Amino acid sequence: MKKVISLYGSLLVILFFIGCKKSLKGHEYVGFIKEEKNGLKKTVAIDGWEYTIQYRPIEYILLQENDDKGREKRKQELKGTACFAIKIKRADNSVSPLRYNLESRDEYDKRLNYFLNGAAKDIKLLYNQTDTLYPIAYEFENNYNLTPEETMLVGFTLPGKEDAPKEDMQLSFSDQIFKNGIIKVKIKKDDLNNIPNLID
Amino acid sequence: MAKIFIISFLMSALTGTGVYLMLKNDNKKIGVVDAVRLFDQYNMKKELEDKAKVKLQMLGKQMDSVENLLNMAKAVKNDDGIKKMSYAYSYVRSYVENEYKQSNKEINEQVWKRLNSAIDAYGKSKGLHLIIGANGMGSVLFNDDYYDLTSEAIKYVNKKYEEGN
Repeated sequence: MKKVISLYGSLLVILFFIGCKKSLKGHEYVGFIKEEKNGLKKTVAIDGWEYTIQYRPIEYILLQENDDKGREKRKQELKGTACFAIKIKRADNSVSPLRYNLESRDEYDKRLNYFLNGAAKDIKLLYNQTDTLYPIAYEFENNYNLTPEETMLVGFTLPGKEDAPKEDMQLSFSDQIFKNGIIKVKIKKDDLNNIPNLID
Repeated sequence: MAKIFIISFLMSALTGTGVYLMLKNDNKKIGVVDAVRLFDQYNMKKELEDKAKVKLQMLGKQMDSVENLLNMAKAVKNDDGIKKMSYAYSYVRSYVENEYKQSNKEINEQVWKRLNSAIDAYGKSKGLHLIIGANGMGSVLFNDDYYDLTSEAIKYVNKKYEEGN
């Protein structure tokens, strides 16, 4: 009988530890989110190009924005959304994508205009394999060619009343400028459930 | 006695080397992939074609409308109308044909750009030394199921496409 109780006890302890989420401090939390092996950031390499898609949980965005005063208000704004950053760069970091193999000033303006005004219509999110979502927020981070990469920030409203995504998500971007076809990445439900808690 | 020993030793060494080389060759894994099936069943190809189809169908309808106008002009024997509509029809037709060609070219380029790297990754993940692309043009005259990796390769490239890395 004693053996059964101790075995049962050990099992409960093991289950408790498995069920517990990690808790991490700010910089460790950011590191966890940015680490590709944790499944929240994915890179698709195509013929010398790299498209990196980073899922940005609410706590991660708040840490990046570092605005203590407006934190609660911003948190409320972000509830019920799924946000991503899409970065595009040449694999060798040789030149900014906007300037890569340019033939004229017009071509540069066309590219810039696409990323400022047109790219949002080519981005969508398939949530839980059933709901196709279109961006409610889009921003192109114009870095004026200071870094050799371009970043698009995009947000979607989740269906239902979920505060944060809990199901599989597949982000797709149909690149109309660099002719690399459709870029897709999947953020898995299990990886979303493994996101640690943030220690304030 | 010594001679017999040396001869039997040499023969065993030769046999051993032969067996080793045979085993080594067996480890050089080769696969055959039907390139046409791979291309046709790649999800991105289907999606790009569906997107292009909307625009091309619209252009096709415009071409049909101009052709109808030409037929009407012919029916009422309006020489001036026939002349104008013939010109318009040939212009629209060549424009639509060019759009079809351009769209096919772009889709082919984009798909092969992605397939080449995906097949490369597939070969490495399977530890293959050579993948032969069968394309129905006689490059592969025969292969049995043992070497045919088409279905597996299609599954692999589509998973890679749908999930990212």
